[in-house]
Amino acid sequence: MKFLTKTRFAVAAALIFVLPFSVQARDFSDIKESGVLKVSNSGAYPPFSFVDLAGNVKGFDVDVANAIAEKMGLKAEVKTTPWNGIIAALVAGKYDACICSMSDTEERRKAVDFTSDYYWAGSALYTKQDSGINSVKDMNGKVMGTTLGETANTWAVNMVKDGKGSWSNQTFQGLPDLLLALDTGRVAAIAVDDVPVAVAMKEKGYKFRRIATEGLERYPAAITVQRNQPELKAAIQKALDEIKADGTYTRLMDKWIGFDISR
Amino acid sequence: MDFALMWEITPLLLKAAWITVTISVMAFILGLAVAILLVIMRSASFRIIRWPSRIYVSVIRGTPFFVQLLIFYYGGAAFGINLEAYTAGLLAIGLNIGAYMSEGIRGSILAVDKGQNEASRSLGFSRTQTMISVILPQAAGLMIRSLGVLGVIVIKGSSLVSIISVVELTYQSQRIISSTYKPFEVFAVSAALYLILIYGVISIVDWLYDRYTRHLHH
Repeated sequence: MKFLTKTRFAVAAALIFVLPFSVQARDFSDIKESGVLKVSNSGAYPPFSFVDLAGNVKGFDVDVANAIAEKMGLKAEVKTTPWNGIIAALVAGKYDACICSMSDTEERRKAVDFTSDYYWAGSALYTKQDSGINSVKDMNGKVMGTTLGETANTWAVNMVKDGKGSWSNQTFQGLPDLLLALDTGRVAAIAVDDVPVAVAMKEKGYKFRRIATEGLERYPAAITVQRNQPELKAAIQKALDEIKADGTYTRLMDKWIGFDISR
Repeated sequence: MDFALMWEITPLLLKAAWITVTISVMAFILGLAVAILLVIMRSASFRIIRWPSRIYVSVIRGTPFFVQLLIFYYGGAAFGINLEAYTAGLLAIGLNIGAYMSEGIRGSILAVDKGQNEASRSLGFSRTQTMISVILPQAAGLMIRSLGVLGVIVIKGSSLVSIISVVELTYQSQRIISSTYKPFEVFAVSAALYLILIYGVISIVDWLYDRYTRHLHH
């Protein structure tokens, strides 16, 4: 998972450069007064945040930020900041919130506060529409494709080693190879980070089916705010609950991801 | 090579290159002002004025620019100063390059033969008159060359402000790469733009050099 491997960099940057200087930035009443909620993302994690060829920052995280700000009666000002400094920038008060696909970890909780999760990501199993495979068990005797270095690769290998599965593993160098292998029938299913697959399916027109993923880990991404900002955190949480309840969230999920990431 | 993509992203990178230009030009002007102040302080008769100038130059030259940049952007918060990324970047580059410029200016003044100063003073010119009419015109050639090199360094160094989220040429390139997955094409366009900018600076420096050293070649 991209946002997990980068955890250490982000936390290290925060600890080294910011913690000694950490200050109370704008509190919720200041934010309400200004009418603007300053939100950051990395701009480098499609389809959650990315820059299109017209130079606009777009994606699921951007739309969620706009929807949440609207519920709070504010206007979102969404800016990108390099991932390895994103916690540092939040702690230094450059932004009010980071709606940036950040997974909620113990390590990060030492520096910042999280709302409840706003989506889940992780690995999943994909197969062709007509493959007849409906669970991990159906893979026995077939070929499983994975990408070197991903958590799903370790999972697929260990499952066989531990006798929990009896498929043969084939490891690929990257997602394009993996998708091609599935599309051409060289493997029966692939176990892979799900969101990049969703993007590729959308762009390349692949029609793969996502199937039950027991045993594959999933991680929550949550909205990050500075510590000791209970009012702001509560207001964002309330707005998040509202957009989940009124269907806005589902609409954005369909628009950018194409499958359910709310759990 | 995806030439279509290179063509498509060029307007976007040109816009970002303009940010590189404005931040570099403004930082250069700020640097020049800082440098002139430092040189004047350095030539003062009182130690209490000379020393701050020397300490400033030592501290700036003795620490990495990258660290100075991060201190400006993140560190201001400790004193209740919350600088925008662009402002923090501009100040960091300007204050940094000012220290190097002051040494360049001082060096080119010191390179003028001491006899010129003595002759001018014995003819009755004041210290200021000597500096303006006799020393500076002779120091100009060397000074323009050394400031020109620093101008090029400012442009290249401005790419570092990408780390504090200023959307200049380098950061914009990185952002485009993350959605196109075409690093070579994007960096090729961005490198070409840097090359144009830097050759622009070099030709301005050459022109100024010719103009201010005309008296040397008859």
